[in-house]
Amino acid sequence: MEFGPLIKYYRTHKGITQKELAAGICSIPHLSKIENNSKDANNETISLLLQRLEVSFEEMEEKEELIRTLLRNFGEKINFYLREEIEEIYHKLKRMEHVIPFSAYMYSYELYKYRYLLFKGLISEAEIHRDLLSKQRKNFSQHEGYLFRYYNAVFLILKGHYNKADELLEELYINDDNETINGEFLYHRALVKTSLDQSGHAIHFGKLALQIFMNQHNFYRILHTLMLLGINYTHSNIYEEALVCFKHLIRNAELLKEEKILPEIYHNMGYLQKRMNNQKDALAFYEKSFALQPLNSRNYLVTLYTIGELHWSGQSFDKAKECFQTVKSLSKELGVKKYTLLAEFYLIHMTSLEKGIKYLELKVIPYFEEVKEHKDDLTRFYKMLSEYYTNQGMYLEAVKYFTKQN
Amino acid sequence: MRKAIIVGISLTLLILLTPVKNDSSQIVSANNIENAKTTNLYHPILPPVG
Repeated sequence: MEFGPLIKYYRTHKGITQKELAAGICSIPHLSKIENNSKDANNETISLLLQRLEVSFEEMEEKEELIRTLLRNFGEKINFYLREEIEEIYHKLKRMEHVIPFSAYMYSYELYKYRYLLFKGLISEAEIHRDLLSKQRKNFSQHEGYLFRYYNAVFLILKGHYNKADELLEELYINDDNETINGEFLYHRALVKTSLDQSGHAIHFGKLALQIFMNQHNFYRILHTLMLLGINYTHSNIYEEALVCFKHLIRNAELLKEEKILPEIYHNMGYLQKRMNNQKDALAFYEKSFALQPLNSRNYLVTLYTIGELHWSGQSFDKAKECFQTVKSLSKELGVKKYTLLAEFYLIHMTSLEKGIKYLELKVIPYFEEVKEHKDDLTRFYKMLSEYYTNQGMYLEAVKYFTKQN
Repeated sequence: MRKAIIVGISLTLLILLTPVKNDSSQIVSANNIENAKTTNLYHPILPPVG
């Protein structure tokens, strides 16, 4: 504990002068040096000064120990994805915020606060906190420096900057070998690789993470990792494995009463069924998912859009139109440009093929090419365009999009 | 001699006209994979970042 600044804090807080506080204990210059940390005082002097300020020396030491324990637990609860406990610890720490700057855990606390904001998905607040921490990074210990960079990668994932997040995680993986052998880190690597359509890598990291989570009996993260694996097996056409993952997931999510994750599992099971060409089952799972989703959330949007696409490919255009109209207005409300563009495209496409193609070329493709995060969608649209131009006999255009596909 | 030439020509024709089954089926399956990749929907919902 940094007692000098702590004494200064309580002295000014209580409106006592240095002269009043030092009287009978030590000289004023001595107190001044103690307060500025330029002189080490013995415990007896510190005790007497604190006593006069009605602060207990032992209590302060106990508080520092408590901060240390709380911070350690905080990291553990985040790793175990225990939302309520995280909240509880964060509020306990918050109540001790006035003491923390005088403890040895000032930076650790600020780093965990950054992590807490990320955990809660409060991105703009996390960004402000990140900038504040960035100014202090020279003072970080090696471990604190590692945590800062790792949390920055989590921040990038939340912002949807998967390429940058991947680069940063790779850098950490190579440079900080010992630090990165933990389930959470490997889980985040798998998550980023999934978002970048690198299923092979995602399965590799997902399996490593799953092993660690299983050893820890980390049930929530086991569910999350199984979901990632299911998605990536589906994407790699390894359907049997994907089915096993999703069946485990449905059983365990129901067992753990994890109702929040169930609609997501049903959605991804729908995706698997679609890939297996079971259109009916796919639609049934998507609708099951849709019925359980909280209204007007982002996932609600994704599922509704997918149902729209299914109706569209099944040529149920009225139903598709209904879905895309809702998607269009909701995505505008939520500020998700990708789905606004996609819904608009389908709505135009259903009224006029030519106008749809034009919209695709002028609006949708430039956006997708710019953000570079949706390779799969892009490939699909390039294919659609090259087929359209082939049918029109415009072979130069057709070749252009055909080449882009590859 | 004539018989040998006829047999030779027949064999050559047989070899030339027999479709190479393995290669073509490989192309078909490669196309299937490509089609599966580009025409299917890919909008899974990812688990939470945490």
